Amino acid sequence: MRKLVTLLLMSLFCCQVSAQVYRNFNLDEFIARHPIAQSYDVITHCFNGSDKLKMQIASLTAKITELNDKLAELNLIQSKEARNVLDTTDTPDESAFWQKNLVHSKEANELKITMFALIEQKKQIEQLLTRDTVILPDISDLATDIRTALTDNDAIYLNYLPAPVPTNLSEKWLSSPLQIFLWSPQEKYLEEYLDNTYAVSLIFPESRRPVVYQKSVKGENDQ
Amino acid sequence: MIRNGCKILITLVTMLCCTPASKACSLALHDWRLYLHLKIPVSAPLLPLAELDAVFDKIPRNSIEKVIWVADHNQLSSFSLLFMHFLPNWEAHLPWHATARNASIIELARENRAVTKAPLIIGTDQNQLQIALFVDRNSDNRCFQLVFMQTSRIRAVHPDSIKPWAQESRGQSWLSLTFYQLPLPGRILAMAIFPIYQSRIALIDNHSFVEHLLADGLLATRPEQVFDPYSFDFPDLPE
Repeated sequence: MRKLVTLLLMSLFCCQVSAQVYRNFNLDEFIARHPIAQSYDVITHCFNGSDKLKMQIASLTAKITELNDKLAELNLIQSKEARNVLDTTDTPDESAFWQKNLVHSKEANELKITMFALIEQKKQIEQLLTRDTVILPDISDLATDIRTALTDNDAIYLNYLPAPVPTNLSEKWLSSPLQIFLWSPQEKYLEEYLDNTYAVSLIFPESRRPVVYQKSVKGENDQ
Repeated sequence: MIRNGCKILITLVTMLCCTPASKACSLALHDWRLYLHLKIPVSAPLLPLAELDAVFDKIPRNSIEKVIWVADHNQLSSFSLLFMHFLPNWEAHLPWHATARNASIIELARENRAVTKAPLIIGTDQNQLQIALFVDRNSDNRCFQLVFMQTSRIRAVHPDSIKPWAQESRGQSWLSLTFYQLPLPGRILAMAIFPIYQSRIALIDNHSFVEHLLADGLLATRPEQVFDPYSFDFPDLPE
């Protein structure tokens, strides 16, 4: 019986260990080959031929026009119904008229709220067109493509990135969490590295093997 | 060339990720808790702001010469009409005739159908005044917001012979006063009114006083991403 329990426990632990998968991913090469990155112009600091924002503006303009037409249509209906109730020679059913009118008013109000939100969105995008941040939607697309390329959700991806300018700091950090992780790939070293990744971004100047650990964002699993 | 471009790109992305969020320049982050809430039925609105909002952009400019305002008017109504001249809406500068609710709005509209420039008829009923006092938990209950909110049912008719128009809507208007400890001059952080041209208008925004309180740690700083220019100044009042 004890042997059976021990065996079960061992098999449980083995499963967890075997789930730890390491994969290689060449981020540098991925970015270099990506059509968005290839269209980047270092002189103008823009992606050549990128019409993403202009397309977004055109799409928003079309939606705003559509909502405007619907509002005009509703206005026409309300006007027609008002004419009917004012022109009738009999005693009109005012209660029914106002009830119907209120429904149309609420509908028009909701359309207006949506339309104002779209107008505001359009204004913000138009402002982006005149600033350096115009490249952000393209970068966002590129980042999405990178994430999509990392297909294995449970894997730890080791990536190649261009090495920064060499400095004499590297020797001080020979026993850094990343170095230890590369020798002994245990998650705790990786987590330690990632916890300090902003602060220590310059401590691996010679390293050509930074890591990307595809871990779920906090709260993502709760949804 | 591409490699250089990529390096710049990666550097840019890293810089964007690492840049700390800049602080909002002015107002604080409040955590409002309702402390006092009163509902008082009133016969007529104190100020017809919601009525003006209900007809905003509905009637062509200069197509009307007067407004007939139908409600159970009281002495305050004639007093409130004096304030109309201070409002920017063109409809507010027309003569407003306060009329008692003797007949239905539709009946009144039919009576005025044949008139050359048909008047705009606005009926207001089911009026309610709500007074609410909020306290800010983020300032250890030292910052307050006093809200006067008016709600009503508005029925407006323009019995124009060519293009008549009628609409029922729920009107809402409010005045909000945010102050530190006491509602005295010099301690007021902000005062806002809604709606003017369908928007909230700030009458007072005492940024220097807010920044002084923030510097002393008496108010909580509002992060930029929390700012929503379209949100109201206070939480929804209970039904």
